[in-house]
Amino acid sequence: MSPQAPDTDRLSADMRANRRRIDHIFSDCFDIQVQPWQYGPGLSHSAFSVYCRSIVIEKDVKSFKQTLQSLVPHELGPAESVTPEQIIRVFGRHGVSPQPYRLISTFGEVQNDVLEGYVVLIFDGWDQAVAYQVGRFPKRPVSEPVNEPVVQGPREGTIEDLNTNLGMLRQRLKTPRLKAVSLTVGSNVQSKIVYLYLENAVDPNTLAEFRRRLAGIEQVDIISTSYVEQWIESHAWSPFPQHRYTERTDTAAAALLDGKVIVLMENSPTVLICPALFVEFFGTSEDYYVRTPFASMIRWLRIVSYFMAASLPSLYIALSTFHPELFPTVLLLAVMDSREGIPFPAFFEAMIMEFSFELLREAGIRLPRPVGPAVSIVGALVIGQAAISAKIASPFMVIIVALTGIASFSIPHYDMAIALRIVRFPLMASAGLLGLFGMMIAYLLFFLHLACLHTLGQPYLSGLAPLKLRDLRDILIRAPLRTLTRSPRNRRLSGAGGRPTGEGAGSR
Amino acid sequence: MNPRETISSSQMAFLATAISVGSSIVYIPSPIEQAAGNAAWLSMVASFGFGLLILSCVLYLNRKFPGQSLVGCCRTLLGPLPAAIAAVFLLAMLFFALPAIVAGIGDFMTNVVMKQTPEYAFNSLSFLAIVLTVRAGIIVMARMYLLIVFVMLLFCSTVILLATPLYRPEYLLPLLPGGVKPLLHGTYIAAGFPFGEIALFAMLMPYADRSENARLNRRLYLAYTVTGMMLLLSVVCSTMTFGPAAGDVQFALFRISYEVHVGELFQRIEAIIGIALILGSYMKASLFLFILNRILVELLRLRDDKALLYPLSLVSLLLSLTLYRNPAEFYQQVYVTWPFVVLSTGCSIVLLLTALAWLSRRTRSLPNGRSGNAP
Repeated sequence: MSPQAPDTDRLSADMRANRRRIDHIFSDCFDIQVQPWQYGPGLSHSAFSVYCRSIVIEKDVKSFKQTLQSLVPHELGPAESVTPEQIIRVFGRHGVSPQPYRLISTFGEVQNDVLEGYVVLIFDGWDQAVAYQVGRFPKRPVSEPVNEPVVQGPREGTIEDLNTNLGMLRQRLKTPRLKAVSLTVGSNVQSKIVYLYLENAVDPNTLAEFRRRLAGIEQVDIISTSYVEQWIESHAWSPFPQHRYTERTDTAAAALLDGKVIVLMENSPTVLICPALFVEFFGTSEDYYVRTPFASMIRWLRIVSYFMAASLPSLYIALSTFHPELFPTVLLLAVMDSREGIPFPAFFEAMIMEFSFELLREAGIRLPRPVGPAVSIVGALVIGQAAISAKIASPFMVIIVALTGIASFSIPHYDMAIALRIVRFPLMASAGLLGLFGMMIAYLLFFLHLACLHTLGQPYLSGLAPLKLRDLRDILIRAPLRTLTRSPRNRRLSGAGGRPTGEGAGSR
Repeated sequence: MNPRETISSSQMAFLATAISVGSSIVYIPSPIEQAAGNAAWLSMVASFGFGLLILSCVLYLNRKFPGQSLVGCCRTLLGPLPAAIAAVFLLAMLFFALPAIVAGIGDFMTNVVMKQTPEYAFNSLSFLAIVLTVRAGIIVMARMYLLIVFVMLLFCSTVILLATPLYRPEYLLPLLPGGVKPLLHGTYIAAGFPFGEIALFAMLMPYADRSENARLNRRLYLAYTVTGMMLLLSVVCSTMTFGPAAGDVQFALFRISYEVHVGELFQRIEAIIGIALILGSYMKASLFLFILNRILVELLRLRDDKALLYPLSLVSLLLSLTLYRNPAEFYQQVYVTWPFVVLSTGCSIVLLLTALAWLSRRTRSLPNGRSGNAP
């Protein structure tokens, strides 16, 4: 599938030629181990094994002995009782062996398997090779994801190992309808991505659109799941994320049940969920693990925090610059009092503070961990206090900026929080220019933009625009799980009475 | 027309609400009360009846000529030349209405909220939002308006509800202080603006999903009734709040919201009426721009139906800044001329076409009936 045609040359029966070829393929690769062996009557037959020392655990490499052992009934001595004919007869016909193996016949396969962590055995006089998978170095153990902690609910997170992740998902959805399609991408990196979907839940149009967009990715060297996201997304310049990520297996399983396609990638713990709708960014997996009143309250809190993160500074600018009459009188006096002596208009004051806050936030992320807290202390306490004393910013503005920051921290999805950070600045500019009217125009334009967005053929604002009143019970509130599970948002799963999604009504 | 661009019946219903409520919920009480005094709400009821008649004509035309706009119906019934003449009249009408709506935003902002800012700042930004929305297409508009209409009606109802302590029902009496004539005058104004404007909705009918025709009629009537109720409510509340002075109060709902003081909590809520007014004007203006563009595309048989949008909105922007020398002239044109234009152009065309369609059906079915009776 990759653009550089894979090495389709077949192995030859001449072991020395094979050896030369393999030495050439793996030249200057010190961690490729080529180990010759002698076996058979009088140790007159030769063979060799190839493996990558840096991937497999060497003490587990007992494949050669096992190969021979599986051919004779007794405990193998110095390997003299096995003949090449036996090997070819048994393995060539896929005879039973204590360890699973596969037969390969081209150099391309040898190369791939060695780099995948197989041990490849090549025998003199046979134009095929036997490949065993052996123990690999352990990866990071399954642990709670750092980015998505929960108070209640499972603590299992994905890790860098694809098979482990896949296994965890299979354990959650034990149905053959969970389809996992694998592809190898990149001519150089040859990494494996797997996309999963639940056959009876996924909307066929979405799946077809996903496949159509994925086409061509085989030729690209991709390092992480986010490459896949950017490959399939249609509005690269939109600040709003059109797909979401998780490191939680329960979130991934719930997404599958919701009819999403999810993408796993080798050596990447992040799971890509496509497509993501705007309203899904209001929820977290924990919403479904706590009781309804609490979950609904948290939903509202989050909706408010979305608005605060996007528009609190601009609202303050608009009100204090253009519409002071909208403040209650006492509050207005307090605001005017605190702005006394500030040399900048509210817009510049807000820009300065927001900009410094963004700087602090970025610095806090990039600094080495032990130094990180120092930045926040210097930034937040010292500079904040000094800025007020020096009359660069008013205490009100500091409160506004801090509240905005806290609101954006409370957004459970990092991508969406970034989008709101970006959106905040044009809103501030429009508020600084034309007050509430400017903000309204900006809001209308953002709404228009969101209404125009599509993600894998579905309108991004599905649920809100086009409005589906039934979906609001899992957006504005989190209805009791009994009603949600009896007729889930995914109408395909809600039984015979359910209308299929994605047709007609879904596309409006 | 792109045949794939269809919108559902509920979305059509919300478009109908958007086009008829629009900004009028804030504007309408004062001119009607000026004309009809205490009988304003009666004239609203009467003109709502007239609006229902126009709506049923629009739906009848849609049933007779499925998938055809007003101009298309005209062409089928009368031929291309009369259709072109009708289209030119409709165009003139829209070139009057579209700048007026946006000038309404600018007028409201410069009069009430930001007195020192020049009007063109508001008008040009409004047109920017409007033209970008229309460019996005009717499907996106329909999706957006569902939510915006909801927000707008919610805001207006909130204010009407919170203002309950201000109402004095005794202001509603006497019912007909000046006899029948003021009532008729008020009916005439309200029949043109806002109720008669539904005639223009005939240009949007081709976008209705034809598989939902039965539901469409029901929902449009329902939406139109809700619209009528809201407008009626705003007139009644304005009368109950301001009494005989209601006719002199510009932006009645805004003034009502200004008066609201429910405890320390609900006061200074006039901003939400400002928002409702801008949202309503925005929706109505973008639908009018859409219709204006649609008529031109059909008239000139353009292949690119978006090519004219920017020029059209630029022209409308300039018109909105130059048509009115002062607010008095604006009110004169909007409250006196516009109802007449709606009744004489939009409603007349719809009524005429309906009558012709009905007659042509009769003349066509009559021979059939005869042949059926023939031995």
